[in-house]
Parts: sequence; C-alpha cells; structure tokens
Amino acid sequence: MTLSRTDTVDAIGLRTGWVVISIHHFGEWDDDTTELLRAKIATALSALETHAFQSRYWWAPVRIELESVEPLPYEAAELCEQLGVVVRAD
Amino acid sequence: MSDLADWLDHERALARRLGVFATEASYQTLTCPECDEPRLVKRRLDPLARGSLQSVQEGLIAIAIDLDSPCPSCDRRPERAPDSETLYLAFSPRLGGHLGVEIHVSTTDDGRLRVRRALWLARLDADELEELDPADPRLDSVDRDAELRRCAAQAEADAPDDADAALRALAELLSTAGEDATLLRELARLAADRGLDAVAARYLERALAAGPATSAALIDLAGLYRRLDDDAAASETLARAFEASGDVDLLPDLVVTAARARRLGATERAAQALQITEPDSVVAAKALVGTAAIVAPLVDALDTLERHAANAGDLTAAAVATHWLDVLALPLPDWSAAQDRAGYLEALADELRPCGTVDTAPQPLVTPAGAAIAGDLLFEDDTGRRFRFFVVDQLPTRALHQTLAATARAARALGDDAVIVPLARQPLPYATLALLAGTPRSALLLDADADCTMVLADVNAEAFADAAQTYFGRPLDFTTESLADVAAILDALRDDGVGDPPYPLLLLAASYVGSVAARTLGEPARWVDGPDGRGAPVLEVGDTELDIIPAVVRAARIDADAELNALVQLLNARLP
Repeated sequence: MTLSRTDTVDAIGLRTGWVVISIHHFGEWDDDTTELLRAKIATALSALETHAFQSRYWWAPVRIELESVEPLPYEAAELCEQLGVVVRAD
Repeated sequence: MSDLADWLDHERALARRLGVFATEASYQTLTCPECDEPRLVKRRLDPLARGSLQSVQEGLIAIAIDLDSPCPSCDRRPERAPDSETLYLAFSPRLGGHLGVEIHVSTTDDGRLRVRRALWLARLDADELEELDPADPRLDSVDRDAELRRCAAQAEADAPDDADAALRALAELLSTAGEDATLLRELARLAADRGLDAVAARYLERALAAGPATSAALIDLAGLYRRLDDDAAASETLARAFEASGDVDLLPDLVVTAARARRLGATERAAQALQITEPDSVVAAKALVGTAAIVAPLVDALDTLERHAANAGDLTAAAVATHWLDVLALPLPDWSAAQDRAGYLEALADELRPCGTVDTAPQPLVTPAGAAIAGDLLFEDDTGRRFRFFVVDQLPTRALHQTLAATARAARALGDDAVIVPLARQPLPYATLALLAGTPRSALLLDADADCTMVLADVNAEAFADAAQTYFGRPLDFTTESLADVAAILDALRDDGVGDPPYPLLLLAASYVGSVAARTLGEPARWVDGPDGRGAPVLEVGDTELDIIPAVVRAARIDADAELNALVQLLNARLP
C-alpha cells in the first residue's frame, strides 16, 4: 500500500487503546506526493464516518499516523500538523 | 391584457417563495353573463402542463367556453360563454422564464365566438415582457419539453411497479436526445424517487450543465448531496441557489450546511444574513459559536447564544452556553497568530498560576481499553474546581471530536470531576462544545452504548425506549404512532442541524425503529449483512429488506419527520 491508492486507508487497528489509522509512504517526496497525501488523509477522515468504522471503534480515541521512510518536506509536514496526523519515521 | 404583468409578478414571487418554477397554471378573468359578477379563477391543470403548445391553447379555449360550471356568485349555469381572458403560465427552463399563453374569448353581436391569442415571454433575467410570434423557433422547445414529459409519464404509466423500466426507457431516449436538460431532470426525479440518490445527483448535475441553473434544481441537488453526506457540495450548491433566488427561507439550511461542511466564512456570512431576517435565530447563534476563536470572540458568540436559546426555550443550548461562559471566565490568554502550541501553553500556565494550582504534567485518564489521555495542563482553582486543558493546534477534525468524546467518557467512568476544556486555535464545532458541556444531554450522548453488530437489536430497542422515557419524557410503545416520538427525539439530537449524535445512539434508535417495523408487519425479522457486505446491516422482514440504519442517520442529520414518515408509508404499503 502506498499513497498512490488514495481511495483506501492502508490499515486500521487498535494499539494501546487507541484506534490507529495508518498511512505508509516508502518513496521520495515531491509536490505530487504531498497532494496524494492530502487526498489520502481526506480518505482516512471520511473512513471515520462510515458504518464499518463507527460500529467497531466509536468508543476509542483516534490517531492518524503517517509512516514515511524519507523525511517529509515542509508542505507535507505542515499538512500533517494542521490535520493532527502523527508522523513516524521508519 | 392589463393584469398580465401583475399575474406574472405574483407567479414569480410564489415560485421564489416555494423554491419551485414548475408553476403550470391558468388564470381566468371572466364576467358572468347571468349576474355580471366579475371573477378571477386560477387552475392548475396537469394535463395541460404535459401538453404541446397547440393542446394548451385548445384546452384554454375549452375552459373559456365551458358552459357546465355554475357561477359561484349566482349559482346559475351561463347560457352563453362569458367574455373572458385566460392566461396560462408555464416555466420553461429552455426559454429561461415563464411562457404566458393568453386567450381572449368574446361573443360578437351576432352570437359567434371570437378568439384572440397571444404569446408572452417573461424571462427571469429581464423585467420587460416580450411578445412572441407564434412562428418563433424558440417555441419549438416548449413542444419538445412537453414531448419529453409525456414520454416520462408514459414510461411510468407503462410500468408503475418498475421504476427501473421507466429509468431505462428515458435513458434510452437520452442516448438519442443528447444532453437534454428537461430529460435529465426527469431522469433525476425518477432516480430520486427510486432512492438512487447518487444517480439522481449525477443526472441533475448534467441537467444544470445543459440548461439554466434554476434555484429549484439547485435546491434539489443540494438536498441530494446532503443525503449523500457531502456537506461541502451541499453548502456550495445551496449558496448558488440562494444567489439565484435571493430567497431568505433558504438561509437556515444555508447556515446548517455551511456549518456542517466547516466552511467558516460561508457559515458566518449565512448566519449573519439570517440574523438580519430573524434576529433571535438560535441556529444562527449556534453556528456562529462554531466560527468563533478563543477567547473574546467566542465569549461574544456564547453570550448571544445564551440569550437567544433562553428566549426560544432551548434550555440545552442555553446550558451549553452558560457552561462555556463559566469556563471562559477563567483568565485565559488569546492565542496570537505568532504563537505556537508550546508558546500558548506557557502563556496559559502563566495566566492561571496566580489563581490556583497548575500541573503541566497531569496524570492521564485511562480508558477502559487502556488508552492513556493526559491533556496538557490540569488547573485547580482556589475553590477546588478542576479543569483539564487540551491545547489544540490542528483543524477540528472528526478524529479530534471522537478523541475528546473518548476522553470525556473515560473521565465519567473514572469519576474524574475535572472539566474537560479544549482550547483550540481554530474554532471548534458547536457539537463538540455541546458534547463536553456537562449537561444532561451530553450525559446521554456520552453514555449511549449499543450492540453495534445488531445481534442484540431487541436489547438495543429496549435501551432506546428507556432513554426516550428518561431523557425526553416520551414513553414508546413499539407502534408506528410512536415513530412520531422517535422523530421528535432525533430532532432534538439533531440540534437545529448542527448536532452530532454518537453512532451507538443512532443504532439504538435504528433498532427501535426496526422492532416497530417487524411488529407492524407481523413477520419474523432479523438483521442481515447489507447487499455489498460492507455497509450497514439491513432488516430482513419476510421477503422485504428495510435499509433502516442509513434512514435513521439521515433522520438525525437532515429531516427526522420526512425519513420516518417515508418508512411508515413503506410499512403501510406492505401491509395486507
């Protein structure tokens, strides 16, 4: 799973009581990648509204995490900060 | 015809007020030949509306020389046709306005009827009436529209129980007619009637691209977007409808859709416009709370809400405002643009220290599933009141709302009495503030729990009935009549459109509605996976599948009465 699939999230699971929505990116960053990240985060936030998510995880605090091999450029880091996405370096 | 302009103005005003332009109607002024009483008759005649221009004119003449209807003044049937003037009005999207077909009928001295005809066009974008030559090629489009409407009606009549067949018939017609606005609108109507909201929206989008963007079509499209949970598109489309019509009755919906889409500027503009026409509007005050930054602007907005809600008898909203005004009376700094999160947190601690005890590394609250949520600062004032602050420097997303709800739920479970206070750089939605306000309603929202698999739907239904009695004083008896009470409860949870009831509460309501449906139909019922296996479960009653959960979600978000009435009609139709 990579940012190129913007219509799905990469993984949803429970970790220490939090429901964590994971986004992975293993490649380089450029302007297009940041736009893909924007779309992917929008998908993750939309997933929160679905029956599938709400019926399982309505009770849990939520964290969206981005796992990236390469350091994020400024725009992508800013985007994550604005939308409360936690960035994890792999 | 001297009254033509007045009638057109009246018809346009009515159309604007009702948000519709399909105003096919005829107006007739006549003088009774028996008693000489003048009168004005207005009729709405569907057969005429579906007819060609020629058939409309023939119909009008038949009305004009009608000798069967008695005069309402003298109650006598006329022996000869009264002299009359008849005007037929039809809105034509292709002509961009109302078409007026005018028929004068008079009797000559030798007793023969004389008929004069005239055609008028009142374009929406022009003040002057334009008289049309009967040979004007633009009039061809009127007959074309009539033909398409007839085809649509015929397709429905041919297969009254198979809306798909009608849709297919018109879609075939579309393949030969090209992007025809009238045909696309008919397809949208059929698809919407069938519950195919996404299909209807696509047809309506194409109709708007192919023809003039009338406010009625834009309102319909915005409604479809709302049903599809696309608040941003609904908000933008409704704003276009408002620009097109200037209809102030659209303002409450405009406020709500903009607020739900988190379009702060649009929310503010719409709410302020609404306050001009309705100075005490509670929905405007709630929406404006959701656009106000801490601290001073939010205090102003809450102050307004407290007054308006109290005047309107919305005690929950008044209590929400009072709670947050009380919290914001603490010495809290404004969050300057230059300040980052750490800087604001430091400034907050500095302001609070003289008034009590500040703990910048508070013990976390731990949820039953083990999530530790500490917050950024715990403050205890000199009277012993405790506040757990969360300093938030992100946009208020759904994830933040759910995390704050989980925090409040953990605090309730642990008996932690600290008030949970999110201090956010960006305004928080009213629903988030209401959830954390410590009112009886927020207790209901936080404590709601359900078997979300719907295996124990009966238990859910009983729990909903208990909550209805406890929190709303509405005993529910599992009859279809009780669905009116469910609608009232969902309306309260909707909170003028800006509410955000938690999902388990909606599933409790859906379980109750499902129980009512099963008892009404008197057949075994069970919740089964939805058609695609990924959506919400559906209730299988006999050979009927009822999609109750999305309907209840829409009821709590858009219009509870409409959704539940539709369900009652569906149930009644299935009864033997």
